[in-house]
Amino acid sequence: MSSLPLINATRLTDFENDFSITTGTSSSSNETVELSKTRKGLIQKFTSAINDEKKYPAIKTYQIVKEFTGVVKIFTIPTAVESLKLFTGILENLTTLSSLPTAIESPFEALWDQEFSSLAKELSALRNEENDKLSQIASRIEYLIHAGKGESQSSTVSIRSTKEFINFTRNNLQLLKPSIVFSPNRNIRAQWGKERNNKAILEFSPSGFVDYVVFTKSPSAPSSKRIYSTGSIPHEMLLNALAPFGGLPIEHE
Amino acid sequence: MPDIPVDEHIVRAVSSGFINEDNEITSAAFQLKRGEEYLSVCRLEHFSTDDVNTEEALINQVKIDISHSYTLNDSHQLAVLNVGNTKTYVSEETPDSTSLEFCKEPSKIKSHSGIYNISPHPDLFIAELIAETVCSSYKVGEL
Repeated sequence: MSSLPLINATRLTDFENDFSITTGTSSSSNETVELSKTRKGLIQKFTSAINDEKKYPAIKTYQIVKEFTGVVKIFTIPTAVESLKLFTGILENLTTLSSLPTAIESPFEALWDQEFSSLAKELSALRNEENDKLSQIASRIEYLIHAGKGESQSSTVSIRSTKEFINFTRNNLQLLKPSIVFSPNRNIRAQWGKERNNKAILEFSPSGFVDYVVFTKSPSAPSSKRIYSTGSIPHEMLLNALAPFGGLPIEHE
Repeated sequence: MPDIPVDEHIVRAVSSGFINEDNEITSAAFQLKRGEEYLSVCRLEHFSTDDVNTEEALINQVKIDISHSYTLNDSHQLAVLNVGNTKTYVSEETPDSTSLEFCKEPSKIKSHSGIYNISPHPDLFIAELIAETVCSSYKVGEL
């Protein structure tokens, strides 16, 4: 399968849904397809555009950039109808990307590789820190990234989320090391405590906000009662927000 | 879509990214991915017969069923939850008595089902409540 170079390419990034799509035409046409930003709107606009094969006879190539997995591929699609089927399928289930046609190199791939390489270096530096906690955190994230590569419906880590978490950790070295897993959106999820009445769970989104839920004992009710707080907040405001609920556990000298 | 009876069980396949350092399933396994309307699970009793009726035997059937369209590896775990317990617990623990719905969602995976009504609540909160009702778990590599 050969791939034609894109001209007049348009790249749209859907930050909310963590993926970007670049579309354009093959070298035999100067037409471009306008895409709207929402997933539903994207399908509708793309559908109406490529169904008009007279207007868009040469839409045979487009490029899909899956931000949070870093999968960047350019596909050559034989017909507009097949484009629609493939495109809709991808939006329905982004994980099918791994079974799609062979990719060719693109500038975005290089960009993602660059960002991932920067994260890998940061994790490597963290792992070699004298501070055991930082070293353990880096090793844990590296393990999760490695383990995810072998699972068909898993993908790699959200680079921005990981960097947000590392920043938070570096700025709050007094905190105990949390337990770390990925969220379904491949963000970093940190948890302190496991008891029903004493635990805090944070998810670091790529935007710099932290989704959180904390459970703690109610100071006034019977011991079996618990209270909780949940929300989304910039990470620099997080500790103050959690303070009324006992905050996050800190290391003792 | 038909409801799953409250005395039955559902199974959630959990990949290693959602399992913590102590090999425990975390509530990340019960969060919705962006764009998902329901949480994909399997109905444990789908394969129940006179001969296949223990939890472990049924889990093995579900594992085979899932494997038809999803690659399970040894690091995956299968979490088992009782429908009635989870419904009651989430209802009691949420301020608005959230009523989760457990429905059959047949697909290539015959036992495929879904947990609905997780949204629009804060995702982490409901996921944690659901995770607190896991009654047993199985490591795929040990089945």
